[in-house]
Formats: sequence, structure tokens, C-alpha cells
Amino acid sequence: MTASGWASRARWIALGITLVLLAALPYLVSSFVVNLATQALIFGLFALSINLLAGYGGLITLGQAGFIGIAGYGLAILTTQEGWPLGAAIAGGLVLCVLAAAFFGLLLVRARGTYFVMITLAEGMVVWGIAQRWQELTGGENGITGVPKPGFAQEYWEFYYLALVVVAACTVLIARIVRSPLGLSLKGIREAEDRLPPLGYDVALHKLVSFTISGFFAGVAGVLLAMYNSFIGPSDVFFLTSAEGLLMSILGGVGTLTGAFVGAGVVIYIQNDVSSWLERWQTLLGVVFVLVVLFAPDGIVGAWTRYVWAPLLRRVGAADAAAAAEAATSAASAAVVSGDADGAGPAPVTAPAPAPPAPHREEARSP
Amino acid sequence: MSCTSPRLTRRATTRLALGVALATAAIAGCGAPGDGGGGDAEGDLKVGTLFPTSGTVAAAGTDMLRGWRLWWKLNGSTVAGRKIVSTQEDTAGDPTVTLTKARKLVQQDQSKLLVGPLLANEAYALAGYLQQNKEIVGLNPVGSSDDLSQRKRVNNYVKAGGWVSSAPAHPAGDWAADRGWKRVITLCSDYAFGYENCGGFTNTFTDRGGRVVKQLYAPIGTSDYSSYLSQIDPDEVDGVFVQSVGADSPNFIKGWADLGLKGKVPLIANETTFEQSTLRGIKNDDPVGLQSFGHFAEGRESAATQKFVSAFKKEYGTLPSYYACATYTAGQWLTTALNQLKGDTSDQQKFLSTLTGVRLDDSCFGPLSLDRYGGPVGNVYLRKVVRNEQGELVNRVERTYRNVSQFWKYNPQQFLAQPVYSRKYQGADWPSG
Repeated sequence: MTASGWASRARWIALGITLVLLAALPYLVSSFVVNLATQALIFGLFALSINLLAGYGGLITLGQAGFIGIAGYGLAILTTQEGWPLGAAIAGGLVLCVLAAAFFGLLLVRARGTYFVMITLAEGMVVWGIAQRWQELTGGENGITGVPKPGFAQEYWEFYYLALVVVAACTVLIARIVRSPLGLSLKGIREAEDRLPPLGYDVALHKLVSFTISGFFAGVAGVLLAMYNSFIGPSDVFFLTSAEGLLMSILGGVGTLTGAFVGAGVVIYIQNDVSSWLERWQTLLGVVFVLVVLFAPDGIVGAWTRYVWAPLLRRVGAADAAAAAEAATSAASAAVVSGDADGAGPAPVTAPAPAPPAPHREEARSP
Repeated sequence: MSCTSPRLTRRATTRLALGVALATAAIAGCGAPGDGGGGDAEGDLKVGTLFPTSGTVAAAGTDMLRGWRLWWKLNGSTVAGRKIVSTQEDTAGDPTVTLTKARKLVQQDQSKLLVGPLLANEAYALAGYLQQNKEIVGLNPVGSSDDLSQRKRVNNYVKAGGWVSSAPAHPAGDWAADRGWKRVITLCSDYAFGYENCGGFTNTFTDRGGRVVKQLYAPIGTSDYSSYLSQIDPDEVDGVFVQSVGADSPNFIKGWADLGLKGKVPLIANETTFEQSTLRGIKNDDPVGLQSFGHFAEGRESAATQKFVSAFKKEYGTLPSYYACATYTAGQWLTTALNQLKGDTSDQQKFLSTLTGVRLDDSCFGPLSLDRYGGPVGNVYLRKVVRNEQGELVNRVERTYRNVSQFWKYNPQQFLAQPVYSRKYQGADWPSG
């Protein structure tokens, strides 16, 4: 009891220290690093939106950058061409994004595994195609420049705080969703999709709702990205961006909230800083990814939990909390990284424990 | 099992929120963060270069870096008492990375001047950054997108040694009409650079009564051109205008020869189809005898061009592409401006007006200056691919068009009232009558 209480308190303390450090960041490091952190926050949110589907639902998407595109282009077109005020344009971009996500979601509610991946890939490419080819509207290959920032976030550090607040709020929302009945039934889809309908779950509806929610959060990342760069172009929408988001998510650890941000941080750092002094930075990125998949299949956060956090908890006597922490990451990564996410069979044998903790089970009975 | 009762969690959350709020308040009390100092380096002029040395355009980006380094190596890096200190960052051919690297060069390395990048989308992204950061000066030797010096000008982003995509294509259309061509098919890359090349040709060709019977567009990364080239019926057309770029160019040249069109259908190409980074890799005679229009010709017989070409050859063992000449000329441009200012760049307005007022009597491109819109005015060459004494493929000058403006012979105001060349607008019906 006391040990477990200590364990939960330690988590809150760690979270508090992280938040204070993040809040103090512009005072501690150079402006360039603050800019990298802003980017890591934005892409972390993007990776988290993928993680919501992939990590919790086992639904791998390769078209998520399409939502960055719809929201980002929506904002850019409404501000630079239609002359909307920024606030209204942000809302407009996000509404467009949610509508598109719901529409795309309708096309794939019955798809599974590889088919789900392929349809999302196709949807992402449709958005990219529009961005690339509809020159009059999107500026084609050249993209749209001059996307405004809010008046209170003109300076690099002001924008960092804006991103921090928005991303933190979104993360809290996602954390709530993950623990909600919806989140639990998502995990159910990941573990054993076939067993849900007999229990009275509407799998299609759950997929549609979570796909739309995930699209919304990717859209928020898109709006932040377009304002941060004052620019949106086809390369932001290309499927490589989607794949990068998925890699960030896997690198950090699927099925965890912090993993997306850790993964985004590592990728952004290698891409933008290491590349200044290491010509073969792309090789390094590849090697890091291969090493993580080989030796820490549940990602950096998973490895941290397994080798540092869980032993620490066991030492203070909180063995049950340690086991729960380990199970959460390894179950998700087994479903995603091993490619066993088609949900056709029963729960993957490699998954050591059922993910939803028992006390919450009764909440999970959604219509 | 789980001892985290909801009440405890809620209390912890409240405490956490309170703690964070207090810490944030304490930090906010310190005032705005900043980099502290930095400022204008007295002696050194810090220049950040943004050349893509990885990614899809790495070969051309490497030539940009070589040309830039060659100028300072040959001419010394101290100009009017100021030492030019360059820092290179790789943009990877990606506009988002370009922006991050630009911020890094300005904020971390204290660069006052940025040179680059390559692709039009990178250049537009950087133009947006420069528009918001007026204290930084940008030099744009390669990013040729029409609107950068037409409808979307940014006055602290100077096309030093630069060019405009459609500018060499305008005389090409006129030349085709001179040769009596009446019916033409165009084949361009399916993106902005392709639309601007085909637009330039179509606009002037149709002014002279020519007719573009078909416009074909091949996506970037076309490895097999046969499906496009098979649509060209030699009996139906008098000639073909072609633009290809990067790795597509060797594929086009191979297809043109393999399908037996070479020698059968007259061809006129743009700058990038037969530029040196393409020709270097071709061992057979497929391109020999083919003609193109460009603002650079490594075979141009003039002291400025030949000095550059032989120095480049000596240093790197290969003939230079226009990308290398562009950054080499940007170095010459900066040197000329600094000499005029006697090294004093403290007055931003004066620095910019000196840069835009630079007139080079000769460069590896030929004489070069900027018009009042910031568009380069210089030579355009009708070029023919030949083998030189060393057996290398080079572009020899067949004819020189002097002082070609980005507006060709059109009235600038009327020209700018039209949209930029796109897949839809190719200038075929303009100006009417």
C-alpha cells in the first residue's frame, strides 16, 4: 500500500519536474534548441495521434499526414487567400479536418490489418495529390507562405509556450480518452477484434470515432506546424511525414503517452542538429531505429520502464505496479512492432498480460 | 490491486497544477528570455549557406557547395577588410528542414547573410522566413521560381547570380517560330518548374502564330519516357520542346535516342535537360548534336567562363554545372557589393540597395545585373551538345541573346497582370491580337 502509493507519487513528481523544466526551457537553452523543442512538441502531438490508433487500437495508419495537410492548408488558404481572421481560420481548418477524418474513417471501418494500412496510405496520398496538383488553390509544389502567427506568439519563445500549452492540453485530453470506455474498447480491438461484436460492441463505430478523434489531434499539430513555419507545402503532407510519425511513435514506445514525445525529440534532434556535424545522419537514424526494434521492441520508454522504472518499483516493494507498467507497453508493441495487428486471430501470444486493468472493466461497457 | 484511488489522484493533480503554476509564475517574473548579446560581429561577416547535400537533389546541391568554396579559394575570403566566414547546413531538399536550418544559422551561428537553397519550394519557404526577419539578407543563386522576382517578391532576398525559370524558354519559343515551326508538342515535368518552362515557350511561340498541338507532363521521377514519347507522331509536328530535370534527364535522353526520334524530329530543350550534372554520367553519343536554351554554357568562349570552368575542373576533376556557376557568381556578387561599401554593412538599406545595384561586366554566366523587380538581366544561349578534345560532352554556344529580361519583350506591368505560368495558364492566348 505505502510502496504503491510511493510509486504513484513518484510518477506525479517526475511529471511535475518535467513540466517545470519544459516551462523553464527558454531560459536554460539557446533559441535554436527552443525551436527544436517546439518542433518536437508539434511532431510529438502528431506521433501521439498516430499512437492513439496504433498503440491503443493496433490500427496502423500511414495517411496521418493528410490531416496535417487538411488543417494546415485549410488555415493557410483561409488566412492568406480568403482573408479570414486567424482564430476563425484555425477553427475552419480544424472543422474541415474533422469532417475529412470522419469521411475517410467511413471508408475504412470494415478494414483490418494490411487493408487498413493500405486504405489510410491511399487517403493520405489523395490529400497529397490535391496539395501537389491543385495549383490555383494550394500553390502546388511551392506551397503557401505567409501563414500568420497569433499576435501574442510572434517571438520564438512565445510560440514555444503556445505550443507547450496546446500540446499539453491535447495530451491530457488524449490521456482521458485512453482511459475512457472508448479507449478500453480500442484496446479490445487491438487484442481480439473478433471477440468484441458478440459482447455487444460496435467495432465499426468505435473505429470511426477513434479515427476521427485521432485525425482531429493530427489536425491540431498541422495548424501549429503551419503557423510555426509560416508555411505549408506538399512535403509536409507526403506519406514520408506519416511514416516518420509512425517511426517516432514506435521509437519512443507505442501505447505510451510519453513515448511519442521522446521519439519525436530523438528524430528531430538527429534530423536538425546531428546533421550539422554528421554527414551520414540518415544512417545514424536508421541504425538507432534498427537497434531499438531489435533490443527494445517496446521503444525507449518501454526499455526505460523495463530496465529502470520497474526494477526500482520492485526494490521499494511495489511489484504489482511494476508488472502493470511493463505490461502496458509490451502488449501494445507486440501488436504493432511484430506486425501482428490484423486482429484476425486471438490476442497475440507474445502479449504477456491483458492490457485493461481489472478494476476499470465495468466502465468499459459502452453501447 | 491499484492503490491509486481517484481521490488521491485528484489531490495529486491539484498539487501538481499548483506547483507548475507557481514555477511558471516564478519564471515569468524573470522577464523575456533571450540569447543575450550575439550582435554584430565586428570583423567577420558570418554567412550561412543552405545547400542540399543529401536527399534527391544532393548531386546538384554538392555542386552549389563546390562553386561557393571555389570562389573564396581563388579570390581570398577577406573582402574590404572583412573576413567571410561560411557555415554550411544541409537542407536535404526539404522546405521544412530549410526553415529549421535557416533559424539555426541565424540564431546559433549569428549569420547575417543566408545563401541558397536549391528547390523552388525551399526557396519560397526561405522567402517567407526572410519576409519576417528583415534584418537578415538572403542571396538566391539557384531558386528560379518565376514569382520570386515577379508576383511574390521579397526585397531582402536577392537573386544574386540567379535566374528565372521561364526566362530562357521565352527566346526558345521565338527561335522555334523563326525556324518556321508551326505545330509543336511540349513535354515538361509535372510541377511548377515544368509549367514555367513550358509556359515560357508556349507564350512566345503562340505569339508568332505557332500552335501547341499537345502538352505532355511527366511526373518527377519518370524512369521510362517511352509512354510519353510514343505519343509524338513525327509526321504531325515540326518540333518538340522538352524540359526534364535531375535524374529524369538521362532517362529522357535515352528514350529519345532509343525510340528513334533523334534525327527524325527536331528537338529544342531547356537548361536542365542537357546541363553538366546530366551530361557527366552519359558515356554514349545519345545527346551529341542536340540543342537547348539556357543561361549557362560551360563551352562559352569568354575569359570569365573559361577561368571558372578550368579552375573547377582542376579542383574537382569534372566540368561544372550551372549550380556551381550560380554560387560562384553569388560569391562574386557579394565581393563586388562589399568592395563598393568598403566593407561596411551596418546600414541594412544601403547594403540591400548596393546588392540589388550590382552590375557584373562578366561572370561565368556572362554580363549580369538585376531589373527593378529583382529579376536577373543577362545572356541566354542557344547551346549544342558536342564532344570537346578531351572527349567530354559540353554545351557549345551557337547563338547568344543579350540582356534578356524575365519579361522578354512584354510590358512588365501587363505581364505581371497575368497569372504565373501553371498547367492551366500557359500564355497561349495572351497577348491576344
